[in-house]
Amino acid sequence: MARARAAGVTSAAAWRARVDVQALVAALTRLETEPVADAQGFAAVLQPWLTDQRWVSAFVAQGCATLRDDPLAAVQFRLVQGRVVHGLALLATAMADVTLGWVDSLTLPLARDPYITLLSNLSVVCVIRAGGLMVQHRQLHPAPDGDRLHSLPPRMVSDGEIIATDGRHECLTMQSAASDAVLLRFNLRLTPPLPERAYDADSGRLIKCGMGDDKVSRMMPLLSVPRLAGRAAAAAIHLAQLASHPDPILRWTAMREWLVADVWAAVPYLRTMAIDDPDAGVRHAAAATLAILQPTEPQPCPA
Amino acid sequence: MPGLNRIVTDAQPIGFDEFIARLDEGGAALDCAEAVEARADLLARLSANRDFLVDIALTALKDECAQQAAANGYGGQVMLLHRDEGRFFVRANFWPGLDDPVAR
Repeated sequence: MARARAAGVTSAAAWRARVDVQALVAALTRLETEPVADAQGFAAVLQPWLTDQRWVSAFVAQGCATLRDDPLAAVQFRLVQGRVVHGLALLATAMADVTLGWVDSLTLPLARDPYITLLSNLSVVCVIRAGGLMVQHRQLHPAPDGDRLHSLPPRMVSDGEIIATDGRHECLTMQSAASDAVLLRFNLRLTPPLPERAYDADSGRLIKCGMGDDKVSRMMPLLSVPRLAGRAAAAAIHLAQLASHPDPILRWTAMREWLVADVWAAVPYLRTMAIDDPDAGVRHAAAATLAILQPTEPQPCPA
Repeated sequence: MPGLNRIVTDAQPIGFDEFIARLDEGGAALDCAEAVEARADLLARLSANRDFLVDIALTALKDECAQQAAANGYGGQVMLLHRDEGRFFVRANFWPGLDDPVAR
């Protein structure tokens, strides 16, 4: 165990010290102050690496070797669990990550989602091993009753192919594969983040949207912890702050918890929320809650 | 692994910092049944502390989970409480029920 631990730490340090890893991290970090306009611009930044197939192969091989040497995960490769692509984040900066992804050809047909989600990101995928993978390009087209997601005919990708997509208005979905496929994916999160939008796979109509912010995902389960532990009042100040968060679901959940923690402090904000909140769903929920609370609201003394 | 399924009901509460310090000084190896058994009492004492997790959750809410997002490689249902790289880590998992609003 101790030997495995030591080997993992050594291997992790060697991975981080690699010249190409440091250069790629520097290039991805630079994008935080020198943003690119679109996915093609992102691909252009990555071109020195992507056009060198020997580098791609060596990078992936070294990443796998580092993982093999590190059974206790000291290198902290982050596990990326998707419905279709399972992977490891080989590199990560504040705004970007590089993921080695694996597509399981056997489970791929079963993993098809009724929704197709456009993420708030720019993405460049390098196909390491195509495995007969069939993909479908989806593009957002304006329509009188709201943007519609249109699907282009499925096509087979090939080894070494580079595919850049702009999550603001397009995405790539995977349909089937003859054998397992391996992908190297470069992902750049957009700032400020756009809502993630889920479209019906058949009709292309917008079904729902949310912020898809990692920090929001982490805050959501924590909001109810103080109440469940009998310390709702201690959370009131934080809940008040989060009741004006940009994410509508977090904002509304924080308001619900705030109402439990300190109802009369929260009600004036609930009233404003019912009228002014930018999200129609939040306005509706706030108005409905207000209707329940108002009959019991203390009235000023008539004397 | 005899004894590992016992339920400790009379453990004296322990603070999270002290819990980590004791793990640190005693070694956190969990590579045999005896080692796990030895740490179980410590974990039971932490479990008897009904406040430490709320305090950590409140701190995380205060900074809008910025530190968690930066240092925690796990998903949103995991709060990383302590990590001593290469030795051990402590995490809290939040598994909502199907009827929990966060799961809807």
